[in-house]
Amino acid sequence: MRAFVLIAVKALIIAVVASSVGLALNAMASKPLPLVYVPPKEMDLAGVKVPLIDEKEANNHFEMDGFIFVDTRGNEAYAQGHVKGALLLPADQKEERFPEVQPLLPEESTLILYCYGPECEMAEEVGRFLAQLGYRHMMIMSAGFPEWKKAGYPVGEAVARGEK
Amino acid sequence: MKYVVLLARLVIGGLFVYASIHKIADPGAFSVSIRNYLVLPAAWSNLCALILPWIELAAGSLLIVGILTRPSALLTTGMLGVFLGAVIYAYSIGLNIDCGCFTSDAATEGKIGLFHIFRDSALFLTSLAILVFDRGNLTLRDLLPGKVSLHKPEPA
Repeated sequence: MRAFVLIAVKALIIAVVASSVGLALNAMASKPLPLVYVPPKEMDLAGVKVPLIDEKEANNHFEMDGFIFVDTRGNEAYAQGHVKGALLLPADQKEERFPEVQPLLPEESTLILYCYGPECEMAEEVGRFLAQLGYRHMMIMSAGFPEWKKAGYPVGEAVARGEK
Repeated sequence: MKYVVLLARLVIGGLFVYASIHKIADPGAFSVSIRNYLVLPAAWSNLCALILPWIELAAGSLLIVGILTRPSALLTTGMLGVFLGAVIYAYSIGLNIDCGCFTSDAATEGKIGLFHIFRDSALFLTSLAILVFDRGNLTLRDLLPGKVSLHKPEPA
């Protein structure tokens, strides 16, 4: 037991020294990374300002006229569950799938895009694509579907795998 | 047995050093990978991205040269345990994200799946074996001419 404690103390010292080196070099860097990450409030996608909202704010717009949820994940994730009523426009098939969903996405509507979470880039990718096509009103639910589901908000029934 | 432990040390140490270099070069990208896993509060991701690769580099280097081997193995085993837990969690909740295990540019490694779980499990057990079975043999000191001691000589 005493031997293990000694090993653990030495491991802790290694970790502290190594961490200190990392933090010191970051502090001396020309563009140091902030120690605490603060998520942005909005992003610019192809010239369109897109607010980043959380799941509570997104839920305020749920089933509200003029607001449409767009799931940007893949078929499989969508089939396992999605925001109730959300349309599927996967980031990796956006060009092929867009003609199918275009009739359901009037340009004057506000689109609420989402994927898995804060740093999932699929919603951004689809948002940039739609901005280039002329869509001007978009939001990104940055918390993603996992947080929406965790909050107990309405979830769409699963559909058969691969079904569009 | 000591050669098996040496091989394990070189494999785990080499992988940790390799993994750390890309992350140290681009901590911002590694921070994104950490946030993708949804395991830690997003606010902590930058701090972890700044310190974790340096611990990986230190532990990996020490394993390779055989100095402070068991404390280093404790660190690599602990980190691999955390990585394994994160991958299993992400896989279990159906996250379709990139691994980000060995590079800061996560997109080059493919989506997490059973392969990553098996791989991380094997690495975890290998690292644990070093922790349990290492007896301080076949270190850098043993390779130096005349086995130069790193410790102060006893007074005559």
